[in-house]
Amino acid sequence: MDNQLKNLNRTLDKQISSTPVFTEIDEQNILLAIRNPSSKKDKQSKTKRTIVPRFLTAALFAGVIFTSYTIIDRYLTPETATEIAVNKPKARYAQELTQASSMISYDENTNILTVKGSVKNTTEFNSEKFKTRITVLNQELQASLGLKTFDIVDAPKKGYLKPDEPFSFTKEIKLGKTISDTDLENALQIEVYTETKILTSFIIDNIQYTDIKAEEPIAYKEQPVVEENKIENNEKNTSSITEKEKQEKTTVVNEENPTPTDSLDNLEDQYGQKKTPFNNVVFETKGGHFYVNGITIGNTLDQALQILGPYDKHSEPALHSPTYATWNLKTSLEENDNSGFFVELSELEKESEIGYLGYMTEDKAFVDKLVAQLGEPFKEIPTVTFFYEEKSQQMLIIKDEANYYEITLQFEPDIELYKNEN
Amino acid sequence: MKSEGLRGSISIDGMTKDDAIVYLMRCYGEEIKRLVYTFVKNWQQAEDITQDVYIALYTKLDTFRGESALKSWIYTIAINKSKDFLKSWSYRKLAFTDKFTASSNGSVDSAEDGVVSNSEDELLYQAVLSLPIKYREVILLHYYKEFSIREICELLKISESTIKTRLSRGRKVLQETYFELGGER
Repeated sequence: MDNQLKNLNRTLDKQISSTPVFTEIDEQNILLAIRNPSSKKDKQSKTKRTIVPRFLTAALFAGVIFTSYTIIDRYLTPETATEIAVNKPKARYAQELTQASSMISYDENTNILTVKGSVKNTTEFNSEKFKTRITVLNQELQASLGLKTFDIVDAPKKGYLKPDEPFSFTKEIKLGKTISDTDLENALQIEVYTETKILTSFIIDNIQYTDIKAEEPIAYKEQPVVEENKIENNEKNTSSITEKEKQEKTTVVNEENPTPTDSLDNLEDQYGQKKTPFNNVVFETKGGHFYVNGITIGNTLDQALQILGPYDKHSEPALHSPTYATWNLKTSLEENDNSGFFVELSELEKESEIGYLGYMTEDKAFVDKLVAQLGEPFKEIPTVTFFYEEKSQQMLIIKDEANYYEITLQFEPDIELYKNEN
Repeated sequence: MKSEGLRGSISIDGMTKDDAIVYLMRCYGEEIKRLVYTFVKNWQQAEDITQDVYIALYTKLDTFRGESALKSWIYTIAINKSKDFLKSWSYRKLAFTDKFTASSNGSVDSAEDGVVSNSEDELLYQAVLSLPIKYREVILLHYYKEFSIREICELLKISESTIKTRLSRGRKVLQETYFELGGER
């Protein structure tokens, strides 16, 4: 894609038109329009004559008439008529519930399918009493279950949900025959419904499949690692996180064994020895800013180097266009290794401000702990969680990329984009 | 060929207004019309907007101060006019009518679309033009018109970090769309 983008100029020009598009006729038309502006105005007035102004005028008149009628009706109606009117309080109920989480897990060893889900009443009203059912969309799974739909017996204690109250359900089903992992994709639809309407419905896309050989969920299966060092690192990560969880409450630390750097480009001459061994990554929230290992976006490269000490320059062609220098703060220089901590800068100058910080990890425990530490997210969609600091307009995004997590910190003054995006 | 950037060396000092506008049409007419087309995706509209751009240039030529480069000025007017059109009621009505007509007539390609081809270049072209405008404009300005991020900041009047974020996301969306259309991985 990077190569194609480099040649986008040539590609687009060729695709738009191989011959000139701006001809002498265009030139003449423009000169004519300049010399005879009335012809242009006439054209504009003709094209702009749409139904909207007429519609708005009609709507305005209708509004005036309706308002007049309402006022006359209110003030000219005899008072007795007002007294007769029965003051019936209208009961209001939550019109929809929100999906909180859902998961399908299937164990080929036991042939048991487990469906877990939860919904939440995010409105300010109580919900009506509701039921939950599962519709099987995949034909293979239908054949294995012998059913197209089945009901969830679990229900809230009172049958309905109060504002902000969640409801979770679990259903375990023994299947008639084994199924493949593809049979679970877009296979089950959850519907929460009352007698008159559906409060929410969604298809479960979080799937955990355990096959006989693996004997552990594929979703958490580690990638085959060639280097022995890496296996050791992962083991140390897991154990150290568990120990640290007990001790630390305000920061989340991911530990990695430092590997030797290949070159430091004389940066040690300017900034001395590395001040942080970079064997851990710490996320913190202070004064309305997110910090990663003590630096945040808006810091200059010089400030970052003063805090972190020098690290190697490194570009990641898989993630970024080569036109952007990427100042990679990872100690390892393995090409195409996506894991690590990096800072993106458009120019490698001392005073360049950091506009983007990223960290990638395969450590789920680390990410879970970070999410818990950061508290209520700004927005959550199935694979992405957004945290926002209004004061600094910083957005921290945690994205589940199936076999690793990408955590990015960026400046985001326009949060409307996130509100509209799904 | 690397773009000359926004600080082009073109000058209209000492020319009459008529001479200057002819000169500017010959210098930038082709690239402005192509750029406008990538925004509005319709040759008739691209022609009208290009005409509007030059009329605006002509009427404001007296007020032009040499502090900003001519190229930057022309591009800013072209981009703003294109985006104004995309926001306008007439465009929305046109888009709706086109969609409606397309769905009722089946998927008939317009004459502008030319011959359907599944070549990689064609797929990339389709993927770029199908990007949401906020991503399309930065991708086009950076990769098609080869402006630097700082120059795009000047043209669009938005911050550098927002441009970077939109470029980064735009690339991802473009890649996904390209693969969805059948592009080679």
